[in-house]
Amino acid sequence: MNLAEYQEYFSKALFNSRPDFDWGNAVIKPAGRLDIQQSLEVYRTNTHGACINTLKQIFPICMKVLGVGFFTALAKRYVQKYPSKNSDLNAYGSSFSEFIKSQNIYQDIAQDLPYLKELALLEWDLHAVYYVEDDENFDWSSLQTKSVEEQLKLKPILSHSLRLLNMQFPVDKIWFANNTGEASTITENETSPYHLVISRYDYRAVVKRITEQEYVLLNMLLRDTSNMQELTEKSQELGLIPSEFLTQWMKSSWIVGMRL
Amino acid sequence: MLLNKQIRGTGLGLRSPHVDTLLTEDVDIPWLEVLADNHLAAGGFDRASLFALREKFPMTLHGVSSSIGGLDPIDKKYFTDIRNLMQDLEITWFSDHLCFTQIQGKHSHDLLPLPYTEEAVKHCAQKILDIQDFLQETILIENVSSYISIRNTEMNEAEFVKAVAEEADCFLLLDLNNIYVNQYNHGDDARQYIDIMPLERIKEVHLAGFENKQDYLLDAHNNPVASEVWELYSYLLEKNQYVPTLIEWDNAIPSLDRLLQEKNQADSLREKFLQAA
Repeated sequence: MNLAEYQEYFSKALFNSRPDFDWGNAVIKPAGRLDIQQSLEVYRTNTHGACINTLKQIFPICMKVLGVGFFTALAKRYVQKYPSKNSDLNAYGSSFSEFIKSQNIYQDIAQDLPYLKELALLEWDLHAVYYVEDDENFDWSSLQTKSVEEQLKLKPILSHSLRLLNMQFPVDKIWFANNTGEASTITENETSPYHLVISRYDYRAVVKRITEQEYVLLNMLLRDTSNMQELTEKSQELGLIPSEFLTQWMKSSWIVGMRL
Repeated sequence: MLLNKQIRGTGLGLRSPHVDTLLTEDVDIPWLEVLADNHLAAGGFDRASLFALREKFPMTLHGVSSSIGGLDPIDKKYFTDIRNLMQDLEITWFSDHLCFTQIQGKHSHDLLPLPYTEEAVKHCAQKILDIQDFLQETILIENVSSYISIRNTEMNEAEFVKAVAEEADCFLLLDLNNIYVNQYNHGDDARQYIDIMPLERIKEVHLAGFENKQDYLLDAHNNPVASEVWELYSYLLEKNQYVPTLIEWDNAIPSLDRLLQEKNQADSLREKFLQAA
């Protein structure tokens, strides 16, 4: 057996949903008092375990609401369907929320936990923003020398970490309540959709609820098409006062600079 | 070559529960080993704290995804990140394992053993040469523990490790726990293994703890260094191999004080042999 055949066979033991260990009989001597299947199972368990543990770390609240046993079973299915394709385990699990929804059992889950897919989306973004590129420091005083006309041509620079979610369920409050153990504060006058900003502040991933109007404006900036004049005009159309929300967005490090 | 830079004594693997203490307190550790794959993110706290720690400690970089024995081409994105980290942090050296971790784009995140054949020697040596060419550095390769062995191999594990190191003209990171685990699991002779090693190529030693699963030993890095592994360390020191040594403890991570006890034990042993020499 050459190196390519050996690795191909090993792949079947690790990644096939129904692992093939039979090839080992002619090739492998097991370790200690293990038999061949048990020996190869050590590697399969380690390989799958690394990915399952990663999912548990990324989606702790999904695991909490589903229960550890159910979540682990779901994670095992995901790992079998989607082997890791990246050396960086932090990149693993990006399609977990879609996977949850695609499962036949989702219809049953959805009766009790209709928000599960959206909760998974939120947890993925909270995980992902923790590792994104740092924003460069911007010298805000450099804007003082610009005329009003020049300032209106400037385009806001958004934080690398900023993400927007448009949710049918108040998953920010569900996440918070399950994370802290404190009672959720969902009020009766809250109506969907719920607009969320996920970002990193002082190295911590944070989620904040915003209005639909703010969502529209931030979405414009994310598409990278708007300068300050366009932003001002749109905000007035939406009934917002630019000086108020811009100050808040800069304090929250959602806007981290300006460029021409 | 980076290997002109020097680190000495017993270092510790950098683990997140200890970061705050290492940043804020005066801890007697001569160098840290950084798990490369945990620190390739573009930004965030982990990266920032790594750069802050570099102000206090020399560092080596240890990878698990080079897939030296794998047939997939080298992952240029991965090694670009490694190269950048090495340059930014002035890393002393980069090491990875003599195994494969990637098959047709799928990552095992586990260290898969190779058959000890001439074909594998040539393949691994060429891959190491390609990596060294990309990094413009000589790297260290580490022997791995295993839970299978291949029938009808052309050499034993020690001969395989030696042959690859010599063919690639690279250096060795000798993991004594892995040698002991393999002795238990496969009946190899650990001292004979060390005897076969080209001592001049050994630039670092790893000491770690295994988990006894009754039917076999698992290289779990979740326990103190076992007495049998300390004996192997003494055996290596008898051969005047006072190379930098690392205490590895990755799971069920104890307090920094407990790790320093292991470090001090390694230092004491080395001091004893140095005085006798």
